[in-house]
Amino acid sequence: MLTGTKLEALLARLRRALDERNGGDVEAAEKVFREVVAEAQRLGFASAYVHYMLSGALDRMGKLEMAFDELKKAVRADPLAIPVRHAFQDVAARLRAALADPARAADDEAIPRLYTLLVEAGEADLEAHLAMVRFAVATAQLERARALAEAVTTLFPVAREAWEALARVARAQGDVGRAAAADAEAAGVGVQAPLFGVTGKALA
Amino acid sequence: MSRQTVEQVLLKVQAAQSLSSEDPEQAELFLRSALKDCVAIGQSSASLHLQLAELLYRLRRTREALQEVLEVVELDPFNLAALSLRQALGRRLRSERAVAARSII
Repeated sequence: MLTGTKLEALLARLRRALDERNGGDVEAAEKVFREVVAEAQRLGFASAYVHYMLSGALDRMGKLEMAFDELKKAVRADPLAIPVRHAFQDVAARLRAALADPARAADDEAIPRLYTLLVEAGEADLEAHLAMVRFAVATAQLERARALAEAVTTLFPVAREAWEALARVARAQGDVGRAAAADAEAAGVGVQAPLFGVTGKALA
Repeated sequence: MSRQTVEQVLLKVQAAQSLSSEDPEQAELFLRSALKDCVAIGQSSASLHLQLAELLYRLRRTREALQEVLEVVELDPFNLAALSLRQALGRRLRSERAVAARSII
């Protein structure tokens, strides 16, 4: 067990950081939390608790991407900490919403960064992938867009939007055959075959 | 720890959390089972020990709670919640001893 004056000094700093955070001086708290994280690492500890506290301070400052990064570290250090899990899911959802924000320009340079953060954490959803496809098209990276769109249709084979995105990319590439095939898939998605092959309304 | 296993253990932890006020004994069983799962897959979790310590504290099983808190501090010496609980448990243990000593006299 880690004991001694060095630990006591670190704990005193940690308590001060918490006080500062609660008192509103979040920047000062972030600085101290980071110092404690670094010192703890030097001592061979990855403290889920400190990463979690640091993420809270970063979130309060609007540094959502940094907060997410700290939460990833906290989950890695203690994957069974439920409050950490909840915070992780909450921040991931807000990052997804930020990425898929309709007000965001298709070629916004923040898109690849947000997308990578979510993919690395296994938290990218259909909307996130489609935002990245749109970015690749908008920045003239058609091959990248095509590869991603193909992958998205594999991940979400019953999502009409995925096939429509693939059709758009294929059309932009001049691949009329693939575009038509993707359009056909899009048209077929969501159309349910009638139960037992019977159409019409059952009558008593 | 594989993702599937984490999810399975998490279910037990969540079950324990929802049971902790209505049926703390059952919650304890879930938590101990989750801890056993962790050991089986070579994982440790300070938060799981802390959850059990808090439960035992509420059940007034001071010594057992202290044992769990010491596990937390071993795994994560910077966990201030565990350090506060350790202090509270220490105070309670001392007062329990004092009561026991008085009853002997």
